[in-house]
Amino acid sequence: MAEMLMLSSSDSIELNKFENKIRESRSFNWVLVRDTLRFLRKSKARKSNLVSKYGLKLVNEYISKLDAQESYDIIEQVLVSLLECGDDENANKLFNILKSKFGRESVRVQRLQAMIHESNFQLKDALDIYNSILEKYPADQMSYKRQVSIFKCQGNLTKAIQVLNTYLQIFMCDIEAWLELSSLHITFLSYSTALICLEEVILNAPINYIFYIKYAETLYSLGGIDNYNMAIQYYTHSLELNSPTEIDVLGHPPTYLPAIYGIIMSIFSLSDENVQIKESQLKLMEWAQNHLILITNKYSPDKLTFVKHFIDSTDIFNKE
Amino acid sequence: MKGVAKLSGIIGIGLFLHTIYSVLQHRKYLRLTDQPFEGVPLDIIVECIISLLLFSWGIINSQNLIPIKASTHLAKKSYDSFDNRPNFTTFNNRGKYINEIIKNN
Repeated sequence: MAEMLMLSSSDSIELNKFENKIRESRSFNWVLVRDTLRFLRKSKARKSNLVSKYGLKLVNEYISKLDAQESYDIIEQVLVSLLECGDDENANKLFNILKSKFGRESVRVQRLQAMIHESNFQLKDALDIYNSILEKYPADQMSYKRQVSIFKCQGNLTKAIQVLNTYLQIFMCDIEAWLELSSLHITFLSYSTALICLEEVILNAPINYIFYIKYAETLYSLGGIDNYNMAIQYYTHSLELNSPTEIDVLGHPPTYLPAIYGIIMSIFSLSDENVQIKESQLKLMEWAQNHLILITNKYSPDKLTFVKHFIDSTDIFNKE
Repeated sequence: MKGVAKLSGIIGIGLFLHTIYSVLQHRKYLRLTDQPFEGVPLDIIVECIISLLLFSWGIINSQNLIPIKASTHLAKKSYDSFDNRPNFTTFNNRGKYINEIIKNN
């Protein structure tokens, strides 16, 4: 339920703006599509449908107008999202463009070939390609990661974890891989192992408020009085990094809502465990509830009834 | 308080301009009287320090200070955007089947 109530951030608002503009424009506006693709590459948002549909048209008809350097990036981007959408025919066409330009020996082209194999479920061929790349270039991070996702695709998660562990022994600073490892561990419900991975993530990016929330959520999932208390601490630290004090000067909807929901849920669960709740935590709870209503009122008043219901059902003040 | 601080800031910068003028005046006087330049007189140095103190006190107190946050650029990132790990995408999703349906219709 908490996810449903979550407000979107400025990134997704910008993305929606792009999307609406593209859908509304009568003729094909190639500049707009190019900017959208650029934005998607930067923000790492996943919009395979949008990219494959409009990007394909851009590549097919307007490729000569694009900057030469950028056009190949765009082709690669469109190719991957075509594969995600299962459109192998067009993906192969684009692949041939890249192959004729950069040759068969290029690592990036080989990797794309392997990805096409992957999408056709010829996983063994794909693995062979990645292995041959790694023999030549042992420091090729991307091939390692693709191997992990092949095992993930097969459903062989233990093997995926194993490969990812060996990868992380070499490349310890890869946040994305640590996150992946933690999510794989979470699918096995081994939260305590996932916590260790998330600790690495926090060490790598100590000012990113999101990772503290992820850590706190995993602590909360573990359960127990100590863990609830710890989770509250991490949620509040995340709030400290992404603080809600300047609500009126904020140019975009606030992004710290997961922390507020987390605080409310943690304190509620604490009270369920029949623990004496500290004065400071009661204050925090009251502040969180009020602030949640304030934000909802300001940014999405139509969802106020849901939020009020949520607050009523987790209320610790009028419980008896 | 804020009014006083603002005033002291203005006085501070005024005094500072005055010290500059005094130094120039002093050098001009020395040149006219054919004396060597050995240093700025003490009263000008004192005036300069006072103007510095007044100005900095005024600047600090004339407005509410806002905390500098190292992570403002991250505050715009949504929570979900970190759940997408493009390097680890798998292709065994519903895309293939949906694509077939779209094509057939």
